[in-house]
Amino acid sequence: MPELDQFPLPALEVDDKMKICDYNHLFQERFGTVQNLIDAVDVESRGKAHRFFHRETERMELNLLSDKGAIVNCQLHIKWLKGSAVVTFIEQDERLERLSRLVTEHKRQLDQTDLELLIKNKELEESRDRIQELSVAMIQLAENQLLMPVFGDMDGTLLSKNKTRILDYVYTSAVDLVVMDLQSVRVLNEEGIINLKNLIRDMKLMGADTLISGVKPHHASILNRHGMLQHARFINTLQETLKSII
Amino acid sequence: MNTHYIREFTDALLQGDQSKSWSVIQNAVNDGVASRELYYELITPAMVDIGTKWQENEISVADEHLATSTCDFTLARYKHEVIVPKVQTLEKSHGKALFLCVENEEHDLGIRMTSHLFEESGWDVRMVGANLPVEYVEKMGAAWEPDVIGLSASMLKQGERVPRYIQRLMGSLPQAELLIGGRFLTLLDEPKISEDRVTYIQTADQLDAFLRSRGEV
Repeated sequence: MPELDQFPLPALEVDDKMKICDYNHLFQERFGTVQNLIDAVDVESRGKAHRFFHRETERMELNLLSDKGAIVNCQLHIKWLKGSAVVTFIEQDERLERLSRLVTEHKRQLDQTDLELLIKNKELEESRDRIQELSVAMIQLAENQLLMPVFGDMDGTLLSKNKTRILDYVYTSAVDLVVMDLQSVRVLNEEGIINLKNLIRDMKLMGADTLISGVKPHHASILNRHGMLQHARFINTLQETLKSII
Repeated sequence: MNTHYIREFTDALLQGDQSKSWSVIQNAVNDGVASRELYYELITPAMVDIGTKWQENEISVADEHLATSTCDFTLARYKHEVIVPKVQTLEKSHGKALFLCVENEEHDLGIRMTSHLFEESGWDVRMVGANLPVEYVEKMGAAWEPDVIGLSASMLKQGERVPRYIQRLMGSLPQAELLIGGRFLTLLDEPKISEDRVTYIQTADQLDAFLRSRGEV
């Protein structure tokens, strides 16, 4: 039998109780110095080692612990002699391991990107909420009168996002007239009108009438379709409105 | 759960047959099997069977890898086709939960399934996967501010890292509760670290109790 040191793989000779009789330098480099093969086997693989390390077994897989404490999956090739066995250790194909590491790495990068996008999205949503809040300003004209210039698109979200803030202000400052100026509103859609109607109704219940100014020609037909004349008074320009109420 | 399903699913996984493994799941769903039952009574027992086959020298680690990646695919498809449509209209009102496996732990099927159950219970969930060093968890925790962090380890060797994760995360993320799970818990000889904000999950009932106590839908 050739010397173990001539083997190109980690190898050792053990008796049938796995007590090591001889080992080569490749085994020692990879798995350290141990008295019994079982000492180099990961604790979770020891049961398997005890059950299957016998004369009928020529090949088995075990997880071993490297000299640095990492788990290494190995295929053991066993050649039984009279009172002992020569065992060579083939580690799980390095290429397979590298591939599996790469897949994990890619998976993690995707997860990381996903999380970063989520956090960015959260920041954007907060900025959008803040912009929408600033798009409905509240200026106290007199003790009981409030000017509310609206900017941007009056869609489903603009007034609904600001509703609580507006009603709280109307309640705490006890205003009885709210002048809503739509001069800087670009888009006014169906949902926006429904929210506007509901807001006017809620303010009315709290004792505040609504005066709407700055209606543009392309807003007029949709406001008319929704019978807005029944819900609020309309005045042509904000300048005229201010003159008439202050 | 019918043992026939488990055997059929295990065989499909070992053959790497994605369409067969998906059809087992589909049949179970059509029979009214819910995610909890599917995970605890079909997928988990099938994966345990596969682990046992390796321990019994019946299959190689390559067979185990093939089965795991087939199961991973099936689980992803289940999430996409069954869970996502279900949770789309669900309000994520119970808080935020981040899930991961500790460093060097690659077995993430269990924690993936747990994250799905949280999603179905109305949690905002991030699953960041296998092998995540504690520094990454701290970074993500600080940025996303989760209410719960679920940690998993399967191998006993990787489970040895869990106390360090607990210690670090308890210090750096004082608002977060920690959920610890995974097969390593069943192999421990030493007592586990006991802390107010740490809960160990070993069974479906323990997970149910946790979700119920935090206001399951």
